[in-house]
Amino acid sequence: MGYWPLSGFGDSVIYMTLNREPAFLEEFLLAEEEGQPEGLEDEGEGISRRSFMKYAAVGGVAAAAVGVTAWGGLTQNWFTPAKVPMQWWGIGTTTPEMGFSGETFSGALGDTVVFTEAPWDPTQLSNKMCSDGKDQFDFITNAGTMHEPLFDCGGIVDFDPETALPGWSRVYSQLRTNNPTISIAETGQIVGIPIIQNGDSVAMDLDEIWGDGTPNSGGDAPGTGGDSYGLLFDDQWNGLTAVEKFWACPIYKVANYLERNNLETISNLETLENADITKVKTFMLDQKAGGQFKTFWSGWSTAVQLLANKEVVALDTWEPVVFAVRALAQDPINAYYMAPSEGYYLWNIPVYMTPHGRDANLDRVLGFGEWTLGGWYGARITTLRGYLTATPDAVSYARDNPDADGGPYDADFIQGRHDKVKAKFNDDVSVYGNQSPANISNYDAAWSEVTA
Amino acid sequence: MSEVVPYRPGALESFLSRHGRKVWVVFVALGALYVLVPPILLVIVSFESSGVVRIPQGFTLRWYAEMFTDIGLMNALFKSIGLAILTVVISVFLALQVALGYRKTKHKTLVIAIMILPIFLPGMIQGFSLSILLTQFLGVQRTFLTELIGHISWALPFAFLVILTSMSAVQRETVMAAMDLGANPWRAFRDIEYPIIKPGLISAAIFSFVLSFNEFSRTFYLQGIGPTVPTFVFNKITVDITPEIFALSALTVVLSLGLIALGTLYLTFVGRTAKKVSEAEMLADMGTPGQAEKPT
Amino acid sequence: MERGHGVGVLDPHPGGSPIPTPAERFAEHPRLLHLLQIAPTLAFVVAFVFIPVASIFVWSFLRVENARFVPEFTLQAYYVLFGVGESAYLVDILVRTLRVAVTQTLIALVLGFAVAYFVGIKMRGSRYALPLLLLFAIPFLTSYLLRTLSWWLPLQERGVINVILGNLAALLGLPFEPLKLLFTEFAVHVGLLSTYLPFMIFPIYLAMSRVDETVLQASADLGGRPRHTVLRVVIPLVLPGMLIGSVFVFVGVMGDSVVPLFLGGPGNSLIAQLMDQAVSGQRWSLAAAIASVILAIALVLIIAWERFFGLRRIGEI
Repeated sequence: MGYWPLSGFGDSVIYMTLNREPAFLEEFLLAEEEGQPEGLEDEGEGISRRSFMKYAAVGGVAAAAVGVTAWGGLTQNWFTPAKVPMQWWGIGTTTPEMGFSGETFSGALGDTVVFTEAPWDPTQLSNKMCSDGKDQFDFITNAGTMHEPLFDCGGIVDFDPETALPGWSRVYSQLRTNNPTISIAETGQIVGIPIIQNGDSVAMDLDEIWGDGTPNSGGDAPGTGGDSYGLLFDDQWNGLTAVEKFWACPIYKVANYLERNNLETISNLETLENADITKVKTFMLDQKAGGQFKTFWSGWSTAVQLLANKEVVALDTWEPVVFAVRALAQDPINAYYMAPSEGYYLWNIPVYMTPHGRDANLDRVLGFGEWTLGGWYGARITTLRGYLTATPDAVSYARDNPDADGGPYDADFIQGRHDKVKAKFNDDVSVYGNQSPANISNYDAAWSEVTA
Repeated sequence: MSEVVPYRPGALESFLSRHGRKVWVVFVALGALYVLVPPILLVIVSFESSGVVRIPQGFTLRWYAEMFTDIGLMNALFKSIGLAILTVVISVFLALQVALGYRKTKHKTLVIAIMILPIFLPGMIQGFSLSILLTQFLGVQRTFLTELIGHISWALPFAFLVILTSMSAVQRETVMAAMDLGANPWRAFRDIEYPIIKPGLISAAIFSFVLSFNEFSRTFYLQGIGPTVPTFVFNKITVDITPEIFALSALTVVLSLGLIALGTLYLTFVGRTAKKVSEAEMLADMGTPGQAEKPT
Repeated sequence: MERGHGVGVLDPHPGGSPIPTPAERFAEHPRLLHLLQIAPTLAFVVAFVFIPVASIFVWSFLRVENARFVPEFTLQAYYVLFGVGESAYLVDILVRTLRVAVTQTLIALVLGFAVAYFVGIKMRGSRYALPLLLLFAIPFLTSYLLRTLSWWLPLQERGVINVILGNLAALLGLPFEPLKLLFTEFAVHVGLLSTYLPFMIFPIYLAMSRVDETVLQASADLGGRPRHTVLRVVIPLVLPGMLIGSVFVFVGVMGDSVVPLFLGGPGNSLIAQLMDQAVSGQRWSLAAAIASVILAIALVLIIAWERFFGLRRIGEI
């Protein structure tokens, strides 16, 4: 390469030529200088420079003031010092969206709340809540079963729901008793108010799978008639299924599948032991090597996209994805949420109170919790996403106020959804998967290898 | 290869010599188009009635209307703008100070290394390391301040580079001469250096603003209360369907395209030769010693 | 040549005035001023960038217990990373990432050079050069996540490309099977290139804009064919810009976790994704070890740079 050595001539040429202003800066310069009267260079320039400096200084201070005020207004609420808003850190699933303004609900809450969107990630959650989050937020709403480590580190506190919440007795019994997502296993202390729940399985595109109206079950995996997770691993759909990138939901579905179909013996379905994790990993790596999965999806939008564009025929995902693709304005998908014979993956999202919330805003946090047990919140959430809310108030509220804020509300639809989801909590094969297990790093290691 | 082949322009070369300019224009246009495809697609998707990334099957402006009523998004927008403004003010000020001091210091390589190397640091590594250090080892709360620190450390090297580049046009001797004539360092800066580096300062400010406004990885780890636009978008597409975020992005694209179009029109109608002359005169008036050296 | 950082090139007092002016006195003791100008910022960068990043190397040798680092030396993270006693899939991913990063850098280098050459040399003096360059900067203004997600529109099976090809095939009466573009390494390259191409264009353009017209003229006068002018004159002159751009792209791809997440399929993951996952799985030592490897590679590039060109030159690009 004859043009490589740069130490000699080339080097000095670079050196010499580099010390020029680049052309685009010149253009900026020229554009900026535009408007100066000719022939007044000295004084004119001086004045403009001085005034520009002055403007720059004033502008800088003003800009800083705007920035600080904007920030203060957002986080400290300097504008309405009468009542400091509560700080709510939650995943988007828990907001009713409608009628929700950063500060107040138009619903029955009647309190000021600043909502901050939280990630759905046990490590981020505990990382934040065990360090600074417990002093910054009043309450959080995030996936249940993450509460044990949070309670251990003092990120959230317990309370007595019987006395604190008038609505507690109306909470569905499935959620109130034996709910591993709101109670501390060893002591039985209650730390959360269940607000949103569902059982998860697989979304599938019926037009593709049952093209001629009959279940297509010629595959190799057991139970591929549209009522088994085996659909995801069916040879017939090789390269046409997808599994979630994040381990929390799919790893339990696969474990359930292996156990219930006697493909492997899983010793603990709610918190997998390391040997169980290895079995799931081996199975999944095998499937992946066979080209079974089109992709490992991440994020709600991606899941919707995969179904809406017929990229896949089935994927393990959340139920509202099915509603979303069925409700597409054009070319809706005839999607269906599987009722798996191996059982659902159950989850719920409670309200957890932080030490800060207890010390500074106890009544208000409980007031918020009570509000989530009420009719408007329930009707709105079930209508919006099809999820089960905590009390039957949602149905009666919808019946009495079909045209309330965020409506119309269809009481029969809400009743139907509540019954359907409650049934998922009644069968004896569905399980709550632990999203914050002690051996989380083993879960993550295995699933990282599977999805890599 | 025993035979010596005399040089004959190949078919490609002769084609290029005839149509060279057109080929170049087409090539660069394709390059620009390619880089612009994603932003343009965002604009298209923002009108899709279902809010799904697919070939649009219906037209709607609904997401634009909803965008402004989405208080979460608006809060994130205000926070991003506030953060970006503070980042601009602080980074440009600090970068300018270092650039001014840089010429006079003896430890140039050290200064450059410290100022520039953070550019080559993947954002998530910096965000991860700083957040672990702050929360686990120092017990510091993550607040707006930690986000600001992350943003400044991201924007600072770029601001410094741009200002330093523009400063290479400043003649050290001119400044010395001015001080010789009784100017204090502040006046010397204001009257001699500032006019020359002003475009650099403006570019540095624009750079810092854009870098801060779109910063994701550092913010993700250093976030206190309340998301910025990029982290809001991330949280949203994780658990929810929110076509408004496409509307916001599309709006940014259209606005910046519009600004560029306006700028192009402005440059088209404004003569530039006169300005060049006046700049040269100004430098000549100051009796710049290094004038002759300056390549033109 | 010394301009910009030449100290005392010119004696301010050729005639030699015996009484120093105040300005001179200040100029004689400028240390304090320089220190005040530089030191706080350097301290800021060292405290908030260098110290945390340096700590990463230390953390990679620590053990994590209950989501906290415990001061206990272990090589476990590196065993996992390099597959000692376990599956070596991380090594595969590391190698894949390096391969993708090198390919990506080369593609970006060729395209970026061509664009910068046209804008910086062919369009020299044109008032449209700046607007054209700004077009390449627009992607920076939009959300990176959404920008990446929007590549689905052309690439998916029912996307723009397949629809066009399908209609063409139907017109010609040919059988057509939709191309699998999305969730492949090809899609990852497409997404990465649209993200990182501007990072290559801008530094090369800056270097290009300083290539002296007279040098090009001289080459042409001496009978150099355009190709030779590019190879023998332009490339050596803009090499520092090309190098900066290459480091940008290379390190950028090494640290990118969004593009492979949205556009890659099984078997297209890149190393930064694994670091992200390790962070969320509380395997922070592993995350730190992966970061250390990325940093080590970046450091090697920077040191090589310092050896060949001198780090100082960066400031002049």
